[in-house]
Amino acid sequence: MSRQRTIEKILASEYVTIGELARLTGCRYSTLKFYTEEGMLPFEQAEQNLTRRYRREESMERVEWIRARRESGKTVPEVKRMLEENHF
Amino acid sequence: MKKGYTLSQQFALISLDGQSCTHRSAAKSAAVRGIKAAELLEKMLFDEENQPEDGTFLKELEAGITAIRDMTKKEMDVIEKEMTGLLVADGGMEIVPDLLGCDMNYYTAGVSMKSYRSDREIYTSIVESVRAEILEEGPVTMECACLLWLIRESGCMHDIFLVREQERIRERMITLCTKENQDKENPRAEEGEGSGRQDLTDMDYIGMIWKQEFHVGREQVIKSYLRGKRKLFQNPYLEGVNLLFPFLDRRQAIFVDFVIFGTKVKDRRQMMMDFLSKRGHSVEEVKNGTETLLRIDNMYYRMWPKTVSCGRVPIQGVSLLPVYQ
Repeated sequence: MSRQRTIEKILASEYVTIGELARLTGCRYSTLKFYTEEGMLPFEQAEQNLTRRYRREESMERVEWIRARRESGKTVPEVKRMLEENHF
Repeated sequence: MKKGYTLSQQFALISLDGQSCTHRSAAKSAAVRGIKAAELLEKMLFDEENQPEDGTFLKELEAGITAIRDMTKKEMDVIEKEMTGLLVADGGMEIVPDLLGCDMNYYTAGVSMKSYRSDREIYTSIVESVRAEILEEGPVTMECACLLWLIRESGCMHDIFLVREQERIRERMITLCTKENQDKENPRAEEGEGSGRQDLTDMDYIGMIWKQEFHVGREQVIKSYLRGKRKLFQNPYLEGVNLLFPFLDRRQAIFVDFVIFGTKVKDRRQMMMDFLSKRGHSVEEVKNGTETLLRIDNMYYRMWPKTVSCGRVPIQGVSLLPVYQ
């Protein structure tokens, strides 16, 4: 069992877990999970049953981008389409 | 979350959110016991200098838990003030006026109600990272396992996890605690490394912690009764019953007196907004289809004109009912 990483360490690392991403963005776990399952939030997984890892900077930017679109009144399918069109 | 918080601070931000800061309650006592237990764990697990010697961990933990269970009200007040003082100064928590203090029966009696409110962003970050860590496959950190134990013992489990999620947590913790998984989860045990505690793995420590209980049965019963009552009156039919008999759940039927004779809906709404603003609440109008709701301190309320009688004297006013959907 590992220790919780400090915010400084998380901010210095390239990859983060979904829990750490929730900590950094203040976004709900269920929301992040939903975005992941919808393919809106890319992740890396070495093997099946291993933890999903997210690229910190890209994922934080992506979550903020989605959040801004949602706040401007866009629906999830619309945001998804925009992501696909913009080749993110 | 821009900065890190210690285990006890994280737990305080979760458990004291929404609790009254001027009055004692069963929920607050349970939360304060949890804060003390978190401080004990910090000392025993994370403080290199104060860690107990090999073989004495369980004994010291049990002694600490007994002391927590036997804490006096005065001791609990000191812990609460210390912790909240620190968090308020830090900006993680604030003390806000409680809406219940605006009820006619309270403010005419000179009762001032204030409550703690954790910073929304920090609160969400802590709660959601715990949820993600335990509900998602993958390693669980020591802090997360400790927080779960504290949440369980202080009776906050239902506030954070759904019933089916609690089942999943139970399964996960059993899986993590089994011997087969220890080596996989804690490679340091294999290598004989670690913070000078080669004989016991982290999972052994967590196993010992999870077996301890510091909750007080009476407090848990009161808490679950109040939670059940609150849930019951969220039912739209019983909401009406509560409007007629506000003493059934006072928090969900707050009565503010002012003259409503000859006024229009808009006037009443404006009067209510002025009254609440003067008492330090943030109030704004929110359109919801054909009706207009009031958003008071991030909660939505519906207004109902009402007349109550004290003895034979009728008193005009407006009742505030929370909107849940």
